[in-house]
This record gives sequence, C-alpha cells and structure tokens, in this order.
Amino acid sequence: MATAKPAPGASSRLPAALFSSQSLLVTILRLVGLALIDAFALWFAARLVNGGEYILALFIAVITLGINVAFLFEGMYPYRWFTPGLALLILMIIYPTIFTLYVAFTNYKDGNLLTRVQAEEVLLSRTFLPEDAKTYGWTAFRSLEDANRWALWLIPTDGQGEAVFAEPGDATPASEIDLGDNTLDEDGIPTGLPGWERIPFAKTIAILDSVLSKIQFGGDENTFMLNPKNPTKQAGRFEAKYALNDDGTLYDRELGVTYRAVRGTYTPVAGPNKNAQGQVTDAEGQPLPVIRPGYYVPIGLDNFKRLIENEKIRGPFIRVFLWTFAHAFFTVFITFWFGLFLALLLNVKFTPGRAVLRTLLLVPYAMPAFISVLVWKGLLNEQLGVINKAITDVLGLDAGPRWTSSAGWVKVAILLIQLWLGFPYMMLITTGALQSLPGDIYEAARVDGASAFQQFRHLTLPMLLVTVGPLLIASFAFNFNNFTIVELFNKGGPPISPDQPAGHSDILITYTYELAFGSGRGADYGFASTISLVIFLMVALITFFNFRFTQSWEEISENV
Amino acid sequence: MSSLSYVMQNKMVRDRWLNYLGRLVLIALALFFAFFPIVWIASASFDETGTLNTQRLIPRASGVGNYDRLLTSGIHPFGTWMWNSIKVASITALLTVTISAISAYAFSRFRFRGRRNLMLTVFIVQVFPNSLTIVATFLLIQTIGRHVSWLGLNTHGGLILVYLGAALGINTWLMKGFFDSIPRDLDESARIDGASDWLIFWRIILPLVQPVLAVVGILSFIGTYGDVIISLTLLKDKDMQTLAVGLNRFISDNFNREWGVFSAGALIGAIPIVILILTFQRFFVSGLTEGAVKG
Repeated sequence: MATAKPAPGASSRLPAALFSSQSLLVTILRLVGLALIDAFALWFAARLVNGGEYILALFIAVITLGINVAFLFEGMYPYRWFTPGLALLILMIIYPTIFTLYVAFTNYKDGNLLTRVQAEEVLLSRTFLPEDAKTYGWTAFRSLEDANRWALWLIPTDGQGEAVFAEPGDATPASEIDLGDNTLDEDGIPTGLPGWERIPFAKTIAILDSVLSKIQFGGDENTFMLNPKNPTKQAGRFEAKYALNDDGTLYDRELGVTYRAVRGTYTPVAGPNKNAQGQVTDAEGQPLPVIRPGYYVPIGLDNFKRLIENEKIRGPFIRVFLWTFAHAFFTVFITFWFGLFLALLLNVKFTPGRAVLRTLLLVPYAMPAFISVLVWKGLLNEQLGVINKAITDVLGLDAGPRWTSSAGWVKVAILLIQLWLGFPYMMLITTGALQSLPGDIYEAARVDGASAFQQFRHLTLPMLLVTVGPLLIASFAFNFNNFTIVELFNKGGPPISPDQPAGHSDILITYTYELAFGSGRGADYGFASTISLVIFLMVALITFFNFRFTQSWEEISENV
Repeated sequence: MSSLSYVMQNKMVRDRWLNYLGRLVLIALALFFAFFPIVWIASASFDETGTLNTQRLIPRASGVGNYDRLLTSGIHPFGTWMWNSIKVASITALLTVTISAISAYAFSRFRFRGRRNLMLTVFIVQVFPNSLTIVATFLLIQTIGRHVSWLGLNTHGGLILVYLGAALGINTWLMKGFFDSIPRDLDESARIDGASDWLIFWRIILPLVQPVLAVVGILSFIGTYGDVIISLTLLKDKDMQTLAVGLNRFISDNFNREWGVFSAGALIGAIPIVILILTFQRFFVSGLTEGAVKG
C-alpha cells in the first residue's frame, strides 16, 4: 500500500491554536454533551453495581473516564477522534475477552446463572402462606389503562380488621382509597374505582390459574396472593419465605431449614428432620433439594481439570481439536491447488474469453457462504438429494454416501463444500501472483533446458508461495473458526457419543457454541469459555507464526 | 514468405488452438462444478412440485408459484428477514465507515504520544474475531438489555452494537493508508485560510477519499450480511431474525417439502451480494482485506 510519509511534527502545534480560535458555543456544546454522557454512564454503572455486575461497571467507568480526559485536556486532543471507535472496541471486544477469561474459571452455567446479588434478590422475594396466615375474600379489578394489570379488593374472612386494596407493588387500606363516584355494595366492595374496572367473578375463572394465581399483589411487607389450596374463594397474606442470616446462610422460614451456599448453590445444612445419612429431609423423610437459582462463583481450575481429567470429555475434545486443524489445513490445501490449477490454465497468453471465464469462476465465492452451505445441504441430503440419487442411479447402489450421519463422510462433505466455496479466492490470489512473476528468469531456465514441470516446481511455486504464503496462513486462521460452514451444514454432527455435546464434524468454535447455547443439555458458559480460551491460544499461535515466518509484521510496522 | 515458414506458422496456430481447446475442456469441468448447484436451485425455484424429492433439472411443471409462496405466505416472513438483513447491514456499514474514517484521519494527520502503540493494538485486537468471545458477548448484551431494552438480546440495536466493536480495526488501516496518499499541502493551505481540523476532514479530505469509503462500506455490508454466529446467538424471534438465521430455520423445519420455496429465497438472498462482489472484485484481492469477508 502506498504511504506518503507526512512531514514530521507538522501538526503537533495545531490543537492549541485550534482551541484558542474555538467559539464559546462549541465549548459549551462539548461540555453539555460530556455531561449527558457522564450522567448516562453514572446511571448505568450504578445499576450494574446494584445487580452485582462489577467487572462491567468498572469497564463503563474506565471508558467514561477516558472520554472525559480526552475532551477536557488539550494535550489529549488527538484522542478525541478515537473516542467512538475506542469506546466500542473496549466495550465490545476487550471487555468480552476479559470476561471470557474470568468466566472460564467460574461455574457460570444452568442453575448458577445469576450474580450473588441477583440470586439473593430473587430468593428474598419468594413468599409462602403460613399456617396461621390471615385470609381474605377477593374481588378482581382490572386497570383501565393496562389490560394486563390486575388488583384485588380484599376483605378479611374472619371479619377482623380493615379491607385492603392490593395492586402489584402496593397495598393500601380501604379507608385511604378514593372511591371517586363509586359506592360500596352490600358486601363492602366498591362498584368501581378511578382508573380501575371491577371484574365480575364469573369472568375471572378462565384466567384464575394462568394469570391471577401467579401475581404477587402488594409490596414487600404486605404480600397477598390467591390461596393455592382454595383460589376461587380465598386470598392469603403471604410472608417472605427466606431470610438472609448475617453469616451468609439462608433460613427457610416455612420449613425451618438452614441453607449454606456451596459453590454458589444454597444447600440444606441444618433442619428439624434428618435421615440416617445425616441429610436434611422434609417431614416425610425425603432429602431436601438445593435451592435454585444459584449464583456463579470462581471455581479455580475445575473447568480445565474437567477437560484434561474427565475421559468422557477429553476423548471427544481431542477429536474435535484435531479435526479443527485438519479441516483448516485440508481446506487451504485443496482450495489452493485447485485454484492454482485453474489460474495456470487461464494464465496462458492465448486464451480467448479469459476475462469472462475468470468472472464466471468467481461466482461461487461471490455467493454468501450461509446460502451456499444450505444449498449444498439440500444437494447432499442422504435420501432425497440429487447427488445421492445420481450416485445410486449411475452405480446401481442401494444407498449413497451417508453425508450427514457417518463420521467419515460428513468430513468429506464439508471439505467438498469448502472446495466449492474457496477455490475462486485461491484462483484470484494466485492469478495476481502469477502475473507479477518476472518473465526473464523463465527465458534463462528454458535456455538451460528446464522442462515445463521443472520450471513450475523450482521457479513458479517457490516464488508464488512467498507472495501468497501469508494469505494462505490467514485463510487457515479464518477456516480454523469457520462457524458458518460447520454449524449450518450439520450442526457439528453426527454426535461422537450420545451423552456428549461434541460431534464428528465439530470444530472448536461450534463445540463452544453447542456447550453454551445448544438445546436440551443446559447452558455451560464456564466450560464453553474454557474452550474459547483454547481457541484464543491457537489463533494467537497461528498469528505469531504468520508474523514470525513472513515479512508481514515488518510491513505493518513500516506502515504505521 | 516461403512455403516452409508458412506451414510452420500454420502449425503453430493450430497447436495454439488445440492447446486452448484442451484447456477449455478442463475449464468447462470446473465451470460445471461451480454452476451445477446454482443451476440446480434456479431450476428448483421454478419447479411447481416444490419438493427436494420430486425435482428434475428441467421442471415438469414450471411457474413462479414458489416465489409467490415465499413472498406472500405468512409461515416464513422472508420479506421481513431480507429487510432486517439489509437494514442491519446498511446501518452497520454506515457507522463503521464513519467511525473508521474519523479514526483514520487522526492516525494519518496527527502525531501524538501513543500513536504507534494504538495502531499496533488495533491491528492485534482485530486478529481475534469477536466470534471467539461469543459467550461473553451474549452475556454482555443480555446484561445491557436489562437496563437499556433496545440494546438487549433479540434487538437490532444490540446486534449492531456488537458489529460496531470491530469498526476500529482493519478498515481503519485500509483507510489510513489511503488518507496518507492525499497530499498534506492541501491541509496546510486550508489551515492557513483558518480551517479547523474538522472542517479540513469534512470538506477537503472526505470528498477525496470517497473510493476507500465505498470499499470499506461495501466490505462491512457484505461481512455483516453474511454473519451467522452473532445473529444466530442474539436474535430469537422469527420477526427479528436476519436472512442468515431465518433461512437456516426455514430448511431445518421442513427441508424436503419447502425445497422449492427455499431455493427461490436462496436466489433472491444471494443475487445482491453476488452482483456487489463481482462488480468490486478487484478490492477483494488486496492482501489487507483478505479474511475480512471470507477466505
């Protein structure tokens, strides 16, 4: 790339000059903008801290601080131009990288998906109906503004005390309710309320289980819900099920059981009933389960140990690891040779229609890869696809290759698709490289009696590899993480063993995806992040190799 | 001209043509390999029987029924997917070009402490594609969405935010190289006339670097349009999904029966990108852009 070296030092004095000529209006606008950003960031960071998301809050704070420094100090003037790009880079690339590193050492997975603060909040909001709870007869009201918002008018069944109007988040004694134009009927229930419509009981039956029984009416202190044992008639005053002790244990007020957080999961440790093994049980003698949700905590090297020590995981992982390399290597290998072959065919001077032929051969490369893979998935369908139909017809077989269900054929299928997708790119870059080769050395080689093959083997190929070598390594790195092809063709399948998420065509990145987001097995973000770290390490090694053994790093450094 | 040399020349011409025809046979085989899948789905898209099983190369009953079903039947909101893809890719491309151009201008024109390290950092960071941190990215967007709903999971705002993480990256390098080739005399004379940095950037540099803005915009558009891993992870609702996610779900549901409709969708989805790439093919050869789209 052409780079004109700018005159050194030319702009170093400019910022200050610029500032002095800046109008007051611009300065004020800048400060107002900064204040708005700060206000938003402060609000956001505070909410994150409240939710226990400390690392993200720290990043938001650092980014905001950086923006402020750039815009408040004249010496940092050039950095103002980088604030949008850098802020996004730090938030969307650097933070996820650091967080991946952290999560890899935690048990962030199904059952432990929350931060400690969030888990405690969820648990402390749970309620139960005590044996001696106060019960009420209820009448439903629906908000006139929001048809999904319900409230109850509650009249004590024992006749003691005052009626209560309870909506989600708030409960008000009847005497403080403004009835507006409405009156109380003979049962003491208002015919309507300002902003609310009274719903006759008959109309609430249909939504009794699906809606009304699920709503917590009233605030934290006064929680009312329909009585699960008698929902049509009664509502009850519920109380908080759990209380947090000072030592961090959780006390279940309903069962009288104490739970201690073990690796972020509240596990029963003491209670009124125990069985012979010392487990805490309920009144019937059944061991009590742990409480969900739990929160995620650092668990040291356990994820890495699982990867290395657990044979059920290690075996499939090693297969996936090796196939990741093999897949990338063979993809580059076959696309390069096929592309080079076509480039040589078209590189002869006398080739009428060369430009058209080249453009036509580029079409597979121009198709979006996700579409091509899906098309090939149809062509390679084992029973109905055109390829297997042709194979069975022509060869008279009963069935064609099992492209998606056999451990070997699925790999052949993926490489076939890769060949189709990738050869035009290789043709493109080798054509470019061939055209830049010096012609005179071939003259010399011919004089020395070198055959066409010798010329190719000892002149063309070595010179070609110098030019396209870095591109081949880059292509290797790209295909090392080619999620699109592997995931869309067969989701990494077929499975290596029925109880493991790894499949025969899985590469590391699709394996990671399956661990984190695969259906039916439950998310394991911690272990998935561990695999991500392995990929990181590999990509770093490949890149280092690329820089070390080619001149590209020197080129890059010069271009700075 | 003697008869001998005439014969020799004639033989050379004949050999040249024989050689060409021989190569043409091999090239024809390659063309068959390249076009067979495309011709096959083009045929399927006009095949009224519409299933994988019954398709013939020359349809027994042809028509546009598949296209009609693709665009009008409510089961698969193809139009919505296409629109989502174009919308997300366009906004991402526009913002990427903007952010990248501002940064590239500063890299090209200012000399300041940390400049070299910043440029090298940007280069190194982009070596690691953000698909590697997909788990953490998913969790990040989930968390952001709890507080700012339009940037959360299942929103285009959140998706674009993730794509923009790479805005300051290889594109910036590409642009910076181009900016460097604009003579600084232009800046200097404008500065003597009292123009600010911003004015120089906006009124003098930008009009001159339009080609590279277009290239970066197109690269970003194509890359975003073709993304699978991030959109697949973030978008859950059928009506929010982009073409890459939607089309996949389409055939996973009912591959055989929907084959004709899928083929029609595949063609419509591919054509804009194929035209873009073939038109701008020379930009895709450049060493710096390799891998930015695919390789």
